[in-house]
Amino acid sequence: MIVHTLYPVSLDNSSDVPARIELEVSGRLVEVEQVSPWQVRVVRLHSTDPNDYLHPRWQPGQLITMERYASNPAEETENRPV
Amino acid sequence: MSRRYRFSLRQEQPDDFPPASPVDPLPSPVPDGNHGLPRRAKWIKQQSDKEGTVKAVKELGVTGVPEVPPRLHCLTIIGQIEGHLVLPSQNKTTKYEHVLPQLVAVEQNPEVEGLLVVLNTVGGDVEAGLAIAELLASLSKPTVSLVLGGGHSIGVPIAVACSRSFIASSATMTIHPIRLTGLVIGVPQTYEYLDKMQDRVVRFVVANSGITETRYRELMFRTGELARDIGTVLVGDDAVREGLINAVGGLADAARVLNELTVARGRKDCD
Repeated sequence: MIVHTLYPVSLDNSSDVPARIELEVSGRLVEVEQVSPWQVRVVRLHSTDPNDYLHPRWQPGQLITMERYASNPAEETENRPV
Repeated sequence: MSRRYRFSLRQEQPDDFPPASPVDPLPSPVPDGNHGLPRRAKWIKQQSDKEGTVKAVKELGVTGVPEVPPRLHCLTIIGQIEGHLVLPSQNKTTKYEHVLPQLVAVEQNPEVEGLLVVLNTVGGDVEAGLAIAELLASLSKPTVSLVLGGGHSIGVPIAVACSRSFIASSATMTIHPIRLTGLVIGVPQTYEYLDKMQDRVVRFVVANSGITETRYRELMFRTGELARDIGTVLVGDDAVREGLINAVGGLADAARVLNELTVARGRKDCD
């Protein structure tokens, strides 16, 4: 690969950062971290619409719950999605 | 690797948030014979109507966002520009598979009239960077770039690809030769391939900005400026003086110019 960057190629890349998931929520692409089987936390929003960034829903740190499990998450843990 | 799921949305607040706030006092009953009950009921109804907004203000410090489609969209190019290889997850990256469709959407959506590109990047994959730069340069709508912090390496072609470019006075742009990662076979063809790749970057920058090819190569191969590399660091004003960037400025300048450009384009379309 040909790169044009200030970062040295030898930069140590080992780390234990939790894996990110890309989700489409209400038509927006958000990058999230899984916090529980039915909940994810917003890390980053991918949008060019400046209004989206003013909306509290997409602020980093906000929790998104799967609606199917939103009523009573405890009952549904058996059938959680992979 | 990242995977895509389709979630439906339900937002939740943290348990300890917001902190308990004093309840607004009810208006005192007025001595009008019926103990002020209708007025009181009316007041409660008003409060519950307002509740949505009041709740948002109390809990998040924000009010409802107007649902007006904005004329100007904003694209951020941050961290490393990620191309054909996926970088480890602790890298902040801008991925071309995210940016390219967004640029196509900006071009296609009739409600979007202009694009502001905010850059703070250390560079990255040459082909991904050039792909973004080429799309920006060929976008039919006005684009304005604003370099904040840094617009280094392959960030330079992206910054100059826009109709107008701005740089914050404290921002820097580093110009240095490109590199090859992985296996390098020590034959003349390797060098020629690298050289051709570099020519693509140089030609793009020269074609889209006011700098000459000789000068750009001179900055690229200068010694004695960078500790571990050859090249040049241009700070704010230097980039303008070299003809790379149009002007030193901030968000207000970039937004004003973008507005002017969209208005001018709208006028041209009407003629």
